[in-house]
Amino acid sequence: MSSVKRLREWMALLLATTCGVLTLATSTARADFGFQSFSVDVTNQDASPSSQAGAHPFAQTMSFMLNDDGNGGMPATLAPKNVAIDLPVGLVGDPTAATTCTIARLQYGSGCPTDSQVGVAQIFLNDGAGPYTFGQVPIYNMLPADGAPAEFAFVVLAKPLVQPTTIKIRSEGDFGLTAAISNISEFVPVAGATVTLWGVPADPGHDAQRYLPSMGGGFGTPGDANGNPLPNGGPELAFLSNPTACGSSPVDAKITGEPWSSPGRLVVQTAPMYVSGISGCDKLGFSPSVRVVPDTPQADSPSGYAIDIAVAQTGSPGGP
Amino acid sequence: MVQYALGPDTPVAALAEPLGQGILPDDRGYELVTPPLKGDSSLLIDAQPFVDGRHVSYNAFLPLPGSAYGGFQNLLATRSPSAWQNVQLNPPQGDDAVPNYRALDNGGNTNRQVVFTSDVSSAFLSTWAGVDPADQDQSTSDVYKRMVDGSFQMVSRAEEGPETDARPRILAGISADGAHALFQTLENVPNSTVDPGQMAVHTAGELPYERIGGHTKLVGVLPDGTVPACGAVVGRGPMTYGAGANGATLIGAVSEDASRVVFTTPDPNAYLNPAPNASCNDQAQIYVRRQGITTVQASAPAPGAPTDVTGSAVYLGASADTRRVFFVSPQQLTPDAPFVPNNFPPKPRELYMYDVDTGQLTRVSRGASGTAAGNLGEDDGIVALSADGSHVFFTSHGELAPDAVAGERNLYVFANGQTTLISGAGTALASEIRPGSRVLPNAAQSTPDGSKLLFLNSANLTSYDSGGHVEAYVYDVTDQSLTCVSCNPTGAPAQGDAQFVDADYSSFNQFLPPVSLMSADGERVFFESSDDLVPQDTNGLIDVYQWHDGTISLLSSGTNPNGGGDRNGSHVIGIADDGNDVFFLTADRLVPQDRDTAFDIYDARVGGGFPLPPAPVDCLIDCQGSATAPPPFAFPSTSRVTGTGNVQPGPRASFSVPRLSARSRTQLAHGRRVTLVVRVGRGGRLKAVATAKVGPGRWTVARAAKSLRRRGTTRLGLRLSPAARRYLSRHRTLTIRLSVSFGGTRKDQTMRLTR
Repeated sequence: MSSVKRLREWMALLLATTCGVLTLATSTARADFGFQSFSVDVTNQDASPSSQAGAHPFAQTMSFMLNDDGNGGMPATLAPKNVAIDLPVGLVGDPTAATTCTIARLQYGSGCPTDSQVGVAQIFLNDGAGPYTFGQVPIYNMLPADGAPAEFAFVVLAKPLVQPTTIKIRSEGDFGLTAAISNISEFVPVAGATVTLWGVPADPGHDAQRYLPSMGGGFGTPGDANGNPLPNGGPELAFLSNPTACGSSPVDAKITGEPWSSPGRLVVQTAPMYVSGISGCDKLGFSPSVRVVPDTPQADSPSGYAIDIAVAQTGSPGGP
Repeated sequence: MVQYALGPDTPVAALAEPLGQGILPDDRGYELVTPPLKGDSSLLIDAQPFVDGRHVSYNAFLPLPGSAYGGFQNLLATRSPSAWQNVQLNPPQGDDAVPNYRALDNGGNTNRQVVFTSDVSSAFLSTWAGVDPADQDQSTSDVYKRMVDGSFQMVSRAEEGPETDARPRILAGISADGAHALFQTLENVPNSTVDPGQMAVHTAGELPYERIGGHTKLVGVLPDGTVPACGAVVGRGPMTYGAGANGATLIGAVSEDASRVVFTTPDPNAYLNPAPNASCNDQAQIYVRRQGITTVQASAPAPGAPTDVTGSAVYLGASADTRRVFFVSPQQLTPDAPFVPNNFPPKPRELYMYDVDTGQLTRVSRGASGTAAGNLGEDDGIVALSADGSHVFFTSHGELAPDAVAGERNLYVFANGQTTLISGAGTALASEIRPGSRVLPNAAQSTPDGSKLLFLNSANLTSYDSGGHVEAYVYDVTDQSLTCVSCNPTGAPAQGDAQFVDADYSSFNQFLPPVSLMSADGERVFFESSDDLVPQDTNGLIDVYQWHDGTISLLSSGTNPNGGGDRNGSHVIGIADDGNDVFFLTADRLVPQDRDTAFDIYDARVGGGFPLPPAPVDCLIDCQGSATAPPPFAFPSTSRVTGTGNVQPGPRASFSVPRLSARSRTQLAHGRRVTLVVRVGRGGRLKAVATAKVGPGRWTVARAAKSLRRRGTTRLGLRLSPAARRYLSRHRTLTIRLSVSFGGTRKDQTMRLTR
């Protein structure tokens, strides 16, 4: 069966369950485009806040809900075109900590490899009767497009409807990272999302939320064929690292939204990401070294030089 | 450890030059049709090239960058001399628009249909966005014309008054010049053909209307001037609102000047629309509206045929001028048709052709004897039709020619009054048969003159043993020969199937011409296969091939350069009628401009390919960036080195390069390799780079390098890049700068190449 046909059937189901609500929604007063809520939580495995400088948190969860029209409806005027989350300066990620997948493979292939999963997402939809979700889907580490440093993607509703999330560098600003979800499809009425990225994707603590490739296309369940926790199988490498500049002031994340109905109109909201700031800088080691080796020891002869600058970064979840 | 902030180079790095250069047959070059920068936001469907090779219509589920709204998009790609340009055809989303996810309605297909005027200057499409002041329903589909200047005009309008009805009005066809626009709806739309009182008899099903010259006319009018109570549909209906893909067809239903419009009444879905209605389950019949004035019944019994036999006629298609109308019917409509009682289950059908000009009805399925029973079953019908309707390729379970097997599916060609069996091809015909539908992913295809038929079959129709796998065959009507065009040329057993257009990637746009994968002259055939049919194909995935004069050539990468695996092969979607453009979908990056791993549309074009992105002018050799200034040393470095003392100065890095002779320049201009003789004074790295200024940038057009151990004379081979050769073939002249570098010294010579 055609993938598009399958998608249409899911869409038909979606519409069938909401038929008749639209008229009510469009006849009522509408709120402005914006965010009802926004939060970013960086946590340890025990759900406590992760504020240790340079630490690799267990999870980073970004969550937002869009305004509805005041009656639970979600007219087109409130549909998001772009959503971007500016992460604090110093928070870094390593896309090589997980294998990569391709968009075409996620859309039309047998799915992305288990060891390319770097988190989970829940997409909230709203066809006029309030937000709801079809459940959790895996987030995959993708071969980035268009020269981006990193890219993630997840299936919205059912494949081949895939939403990429691009990681950008604020190169004309503070050089922090921005997670940008651009050109969001209105094929499904997005009301919000909760996106969780794992600090160490191969951490066994995530095994219960890991998906087989065949289960990552929407409406799948995590675990192996028997529903048991699914190991990553790869080395435990750090994917996320907290900033290394300490202070007791809260460190904020910022979300910016732009609606389809008014391109260029930006709505901004901030939320504390590290509520008590970043601490423990004294526990960070910093032992850089430089090594210069000439191509030839011959006196007074032209020579090239091999220069190695090393900053100890092991990629190990236990290290900086 | 690689941090995001350190990653200007990414795994999806740009290609240095297009793949396939010098490997593709017929001097083809790859061209990227879809936008190069999509942010991986790509879900392309309904891609269908025009036969002119210069336009591709496609739709996108996900909004491409620059989209005016986030819903389903209709797009048109047009080839310019320097790149393919992509234009979104939909109107922008306004404040009053309903959510665009609903634009892909619960019949699934209204907004997948776009039709263009013959000069491709205007497009007609259905949209939910109410951008015309007369469109006041704001929540259902209407038909709009996208004008040359990008403005929109609603054409599904009533004779007078605004559109306020919540029921959708959907596209049903246009004339080639766009002056006539047809639409269908359940509504009784005020029109200039019949008065509202007459319209009131219509209570179920849709009715087709026509917008022409500022007036709205009713098309669905019966021969006696009355309005059908249970509605009517153009052809057998647009693929929407319950008609679905099976059976709905508009093929040939509207002639080029819209002077002839074929319609079926009752609307096949009238018994359900707007509510279950048993009285609308009548026998469907085929009619032709002529000049917007008169109507004739194409499926009426001919003189001498019984008039009391019932059964629904099913429209299958028409010649390009809508003069010859084809349909099947269980009724005995001609005197030579076998009599079948009304209660005979299941009732076999006959294939008929109605000539609109002469009014003559011909039973096509009469067989060689002229009296055979056609016996067309539910899975039988027309598989291909020549443009003028003179050649009809159809299947039937009847014994219509010698060697045919009664009760089994046989494939026939009907031409010049004769019926010929295509022996052995019927039972294992892999080409999907949905009678009359023009959007079959696996339909058989004929040349416009009907002289050749391309089809898929899993039987061994030639000496090649396909082992039950599907192969593509060409049947020549003239000499009744069969050629397998997809069989492995080595004779190795097939491991997979050949196919035409994969169902996942086929177009759902029923307004565009049927996809053909055979050039109009029948000389070249294109197909896809999961078998690796040539040595260059090593990926074990589906790839696109060309067959020409007995030779199979690979047109897609065959190498899966992105490592996508799975079904991320390459999928053909159509060709230009001369076969010089072959369009396919692939996630492979085949040109440097492509910077993502999402699916794109490519054109493997004869003489194709665009200039590469300009390289930095100063980056001629190693591209390591400019050197920094030396640091101010306080004292000579040798004072701190322990060694054997100063070495003797080495030989100078001298070299000489003779200027290229006129003969060498001519050879270079014609794509041949020339030899550059260079004398060097010592060992070292010798590099030669030729660049050319084309447009705003300077491009590398040839390069060679060699490491030399000692002084002497050496030779460097230089040949222009394929892109430069193509540029020269088009523009005849190209000025290049040849830079030869050795030991930190560079020598330039500028020369003009002409053809």
